[in-house]
Amino acid sequence: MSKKVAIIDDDDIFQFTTKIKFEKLGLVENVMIFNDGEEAIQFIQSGNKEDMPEILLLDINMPIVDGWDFLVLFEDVPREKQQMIEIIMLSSSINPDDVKRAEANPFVVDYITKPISDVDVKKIFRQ
Amino acid sequence: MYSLDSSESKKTWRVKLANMISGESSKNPQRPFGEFNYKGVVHNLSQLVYVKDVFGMYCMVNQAFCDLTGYTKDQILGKNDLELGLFLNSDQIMNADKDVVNSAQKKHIPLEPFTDKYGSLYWFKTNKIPIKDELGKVVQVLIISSDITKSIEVEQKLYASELRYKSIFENNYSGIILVNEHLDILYKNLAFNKLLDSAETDLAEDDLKKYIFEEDQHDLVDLMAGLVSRNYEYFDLALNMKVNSEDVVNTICFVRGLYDDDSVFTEAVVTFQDISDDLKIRLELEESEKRFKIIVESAVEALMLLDYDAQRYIDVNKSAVELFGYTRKELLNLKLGELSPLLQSDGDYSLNASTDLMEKCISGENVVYEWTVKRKDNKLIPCEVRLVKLPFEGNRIVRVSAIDITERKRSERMLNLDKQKLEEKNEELISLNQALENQTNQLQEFAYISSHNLRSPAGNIRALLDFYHNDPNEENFKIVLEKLDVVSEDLLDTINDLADVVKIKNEVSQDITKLSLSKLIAKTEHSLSQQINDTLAVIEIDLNGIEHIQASKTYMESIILNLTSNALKYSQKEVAPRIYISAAQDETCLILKVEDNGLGIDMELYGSKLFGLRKTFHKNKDSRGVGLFITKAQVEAMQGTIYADSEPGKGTTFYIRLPKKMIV
Repeated sequence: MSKKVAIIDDDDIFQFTTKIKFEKLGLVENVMIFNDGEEAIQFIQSGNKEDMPEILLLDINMPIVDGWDFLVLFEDVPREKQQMIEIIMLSSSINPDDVKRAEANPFVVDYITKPISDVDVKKIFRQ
Repeated sequence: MYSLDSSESKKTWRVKLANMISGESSKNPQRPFGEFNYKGVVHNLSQLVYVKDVFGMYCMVNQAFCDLTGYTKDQILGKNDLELGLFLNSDQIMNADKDVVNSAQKKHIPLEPFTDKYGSLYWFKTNKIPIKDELGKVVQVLIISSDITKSIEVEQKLYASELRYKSIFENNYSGIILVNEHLDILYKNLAFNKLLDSAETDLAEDDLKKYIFEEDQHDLVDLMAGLVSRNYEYFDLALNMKVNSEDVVNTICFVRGLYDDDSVFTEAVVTFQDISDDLKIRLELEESEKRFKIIVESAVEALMLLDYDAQRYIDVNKSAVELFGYTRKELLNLKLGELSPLLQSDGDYSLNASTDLMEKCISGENVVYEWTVKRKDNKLIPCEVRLVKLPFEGNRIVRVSAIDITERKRSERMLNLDKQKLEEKNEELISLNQALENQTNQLQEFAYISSHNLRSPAGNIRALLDFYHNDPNEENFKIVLEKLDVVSEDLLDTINDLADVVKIKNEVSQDITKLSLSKLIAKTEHSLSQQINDTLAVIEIDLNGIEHIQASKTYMESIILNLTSNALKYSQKEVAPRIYISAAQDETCLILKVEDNGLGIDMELYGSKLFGLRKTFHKNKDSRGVGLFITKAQVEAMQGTIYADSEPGKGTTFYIRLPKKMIV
């Protein structure tokens, strides 16, 4: 059972390596890449229900609309779409303030520190 | 007028008189009548003159007799008293007449009641004189009566009055005695006995001398001598009276001489006033006054009594003399204003201020205030002054007390200074603490950021290597190598950025020198000449006369360079950048402003993140989100603040406020 995954991160290398890792594991049907929150939120707002990612990996530090800003904008997404998307925050930050803030957000289901380990991958796909 | 005595010649005269009075008496024709016209005399006398025979029959009355009794001569003559009823006690009268006839002696009756025809009562003083013939036989009685009714009335009034006075005298609260010139007490009243603490009611004669001390006796005797010789008619004297063997009563006695018609001293009235209680109270008062005087005199405060109505000091103590440097006498002659300077320390006129304060005091308030006084040597001394209105009768008296508070003022000043210093120190500490806290926060933030910024490339390297190891082929090797180039570049940049940040933290207050702002900007323009040329940018400068500042050269260069390069970097496409750099100052700050017409930032969205590390707001690959973070840190290291104003599509303005003292 492969899933639709979206990665929101401005880091090219992270996008590349993560995409390949997921594809190799055969766990994903499709990996969408967004360079920042703005692109992602536009897609979610305007895209078809069927195209919505099931898992959304969200980086915190990005130009323009960062992870936190994305979460604020996500509040305006129709409830139907919101329920389809699981948000997992991904960051290099080990600042406990960031972790706490992520846990407190109702849309965020998990917080994973980069780089992504195999354990993290299993966690992401509930294996 | 008629002195009737018993000499022979007078006897003869009397007979003559009697005959004459009886009027051309045919019984005694031998008596030639006419030598003197006695008749007229007698008839015109105011006294009653009348003659009775040995049987009591009236044989002659004069006009006064008729006038008084209301009868005519004819009605009277030939009748006796019983028939006439002129006297209340006619029997006694007639007996008295008989006595005179029988004894042939004249008789004086001091008081004889007599009624007239209408019943009015008169009092007479009467002399009855026997008239004898040649043989010595009494033939008639000549009676002369004087009307003393008036004098009797007066006497009676006098008697009543005397009784009253006697009663006043005896019952008076003051001791009163009558003494003669030898100080024998002729009479004394009850109060005198009471004065001497004697329950005796005996008011009999006594000796004043036994009640008084010897030294007083001499004085009293001397004074009495003057009274007797009428050098003076009264005197007074403080006398200590012996009450019994121990006690003494203090009195003041008032002595008044009494003299008879011939100015001869008869007696003296002595009135005693017991002043023991008075004296006691007065002595106590004196004692207490003395005590107070000592207290006042030895007081540390300058004390002065001010006669408010006379506007003059009436008493001052030693401390006042010392405080003001005037002598006591000078102080008492001073005008009130002379002890104050024209103006008080708060700039008020002394005269106005003191008038207000005085009036407050006079209205009953106790007034305390600080006041600068002027000494005789014109030295000014700060004092605390108290005004209290004293309950004196007559003029309104104010007690003015002043105490020199120079020392107090000085220590107050010192205390204030210390306090101020302490507050300054405290503020310094607070701001230092704040700075430390900020630094700690920044350091912590920096630590997280560092770890984050280093973790990302490190994670990427790991992920790339994993990717190759999973599928090691030529193509993948190329890809990985290519990507590792980028990562290593990124890693190096990150480390450099972090090094820059660390440098700021360590370089606080380094290389402070006098800088020329225009030179600084020129150097920046030079460094950015490539970009300026490429973008056709125009840079305008307005320093408002602020040329030199005292600041860290490294920081200032970095700040100007970073803001200017940002303005060039985030310019609008198709629009040549216009950068306006200016300096200005207000009350507290030097204000540097870098204004551009670039892309602008949505301050509502990003304002809070503008100066954060690794925050970027444009899809510009050059942006690493470090410049403004460093700029802010540098500004803050110089005790300044930085903020921005921006509108997307219009441009951005950065304001830097630095301490004004930096301006040279």
